[in-house]
Amino acid sequence: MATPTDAEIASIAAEYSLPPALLLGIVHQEGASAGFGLTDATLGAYNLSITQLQSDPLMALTVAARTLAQTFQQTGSWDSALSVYLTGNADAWQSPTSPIGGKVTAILGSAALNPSFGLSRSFTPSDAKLFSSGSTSFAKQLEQMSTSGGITQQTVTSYQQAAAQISTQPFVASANMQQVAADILTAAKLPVTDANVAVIDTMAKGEGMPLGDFNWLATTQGQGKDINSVGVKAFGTYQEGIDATAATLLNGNYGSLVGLMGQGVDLKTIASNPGVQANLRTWQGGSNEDVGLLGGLANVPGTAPSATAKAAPKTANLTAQMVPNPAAVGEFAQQLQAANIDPQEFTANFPNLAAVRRQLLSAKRTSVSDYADVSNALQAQGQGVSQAGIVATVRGQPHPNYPNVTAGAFADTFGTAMLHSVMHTRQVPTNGEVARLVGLDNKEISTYYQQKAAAKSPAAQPQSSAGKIAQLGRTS
Amino acid sequence: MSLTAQEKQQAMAWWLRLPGKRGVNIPEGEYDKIYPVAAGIALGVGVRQPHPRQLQWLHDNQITEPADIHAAFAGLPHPNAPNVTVGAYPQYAKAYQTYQQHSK
Repeated sequence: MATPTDAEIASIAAEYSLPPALLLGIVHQEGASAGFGLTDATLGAYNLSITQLQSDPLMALTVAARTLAQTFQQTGSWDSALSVYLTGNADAWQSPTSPIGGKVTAILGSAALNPSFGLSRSFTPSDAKLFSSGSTSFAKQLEQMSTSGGITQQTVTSYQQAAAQISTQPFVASANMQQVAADILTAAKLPVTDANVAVIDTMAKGEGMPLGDFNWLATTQGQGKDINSVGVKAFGTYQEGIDATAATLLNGNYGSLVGLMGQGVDLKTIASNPGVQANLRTWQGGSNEDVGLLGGLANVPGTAPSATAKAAPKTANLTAQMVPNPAAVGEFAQQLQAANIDPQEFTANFPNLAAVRRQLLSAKRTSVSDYADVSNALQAQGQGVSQAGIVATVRGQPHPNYPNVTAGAFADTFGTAMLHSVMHTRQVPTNGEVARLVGLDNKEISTYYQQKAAAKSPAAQPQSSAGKIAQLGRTS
Repeated sequence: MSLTAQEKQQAMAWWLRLPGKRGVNIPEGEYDKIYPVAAGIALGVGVRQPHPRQLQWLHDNQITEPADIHAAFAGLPHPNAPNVTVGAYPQYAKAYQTYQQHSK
């Protein structure tokens, strides 16, 4: 059977609103079989024979795409959809005794070789909602595959960005817009502050432009193609859109807005400025929409550059947390192996250790070697690593600042000292004081603070220096 | 450009020496059983198709059941993560994520 071209695959994928890479995955993995792996039941439903499909690969691929789109709508996930596509059974891919799981993964894996395949500006799915849903599910699938270490964060992120640029839907508030705003501000040589990002973001919401036109603020400047009678452009590339928008901001018609943005003032100052409001009305051809939208926002600081605006989109940050770099995992594995630490045991217990160390040792960081120390200490006592064991071990460690007392004894004494100190002296105990009180019981600590309060009272008589308690009071 | 008869013969001999060919080195039915599972693993782990030598090795060792193929791949070094086998990678990746989340 002749193989369809890339353009044909993308075209058919658009017709059925599928991520084109998935259809390409089917062609690559099932292309050798007659009818792209379609079941006899499916072929029967279309009243088609294998012979007919063999002689007409485009018809075969069209049937495949239509079937896949239908099965995705039925199941909501690509592994189940492919399972239905290949067998008629949504759960077949999960059976450990069937090769279907491998076939499904192979198609998805093949799609993951080039997930952004076919997502050019000309790609226009017929059903925007279905494409969006399928695209989101495919991105999740890529993230799941990343747990095996073959897909990198960059792959997932670049797919998400490519899919987001498909001009199928009106503008929706998107974490990507923060990056766009930061790039526009940078191109206009304006500071990237939370307030300035919020202004650009709000103006984009007011315009409601499709993301794929790369003209978020609906400028009429630049070399793009006119998309309406007013001359609003659609730009061919992201950078063209950024440059044209920055040039528009700086064309002299928006002096108040640019001036305040350049000063790095807060959002309220920008939004309430009459000159800015006039500029925004000019931008929107007389409409007050942007003025209203900006006025309705909570204030945002202007001076401190926002980490989120400068960094990659939030979705990418989230992905970075979910998709570890395999090379980094390899290096980390070496640390665990060198310390003879089981990864599953580490995953189960490390959060407890970090929390206990933060609480008892004021530790800002917990390392693999900290975990190894606790694990070894417990093993020496013939115990495995457990929450109780972690707490007991850390409690028994020397306090970082008062090594003559244990962290556990310090924490216990601190609680008691706090109670009596506040009650009698209305002051929080100092750490040095607490360290000296370790070893005294509740009554002795109470007596100590009573004497301390009396000593500070103007009417009080000097206290006897006899006994441990008085000695502690004198040295405090 | 066309090949001489001798060149054609040499090319054919070279091709025949390559392992893992469906219907040549590995019977079609067995290849169709092995390949999808192996491809599912290899594409997921390394974003690459299984190597013909891997397919041939699985066939030569009569490893054709999905669970056995998974077990065979599980012991291989992970192509992108040094010090880790394919089978152990998910556990180490989870441990690494836990470490990143809680160490500071």
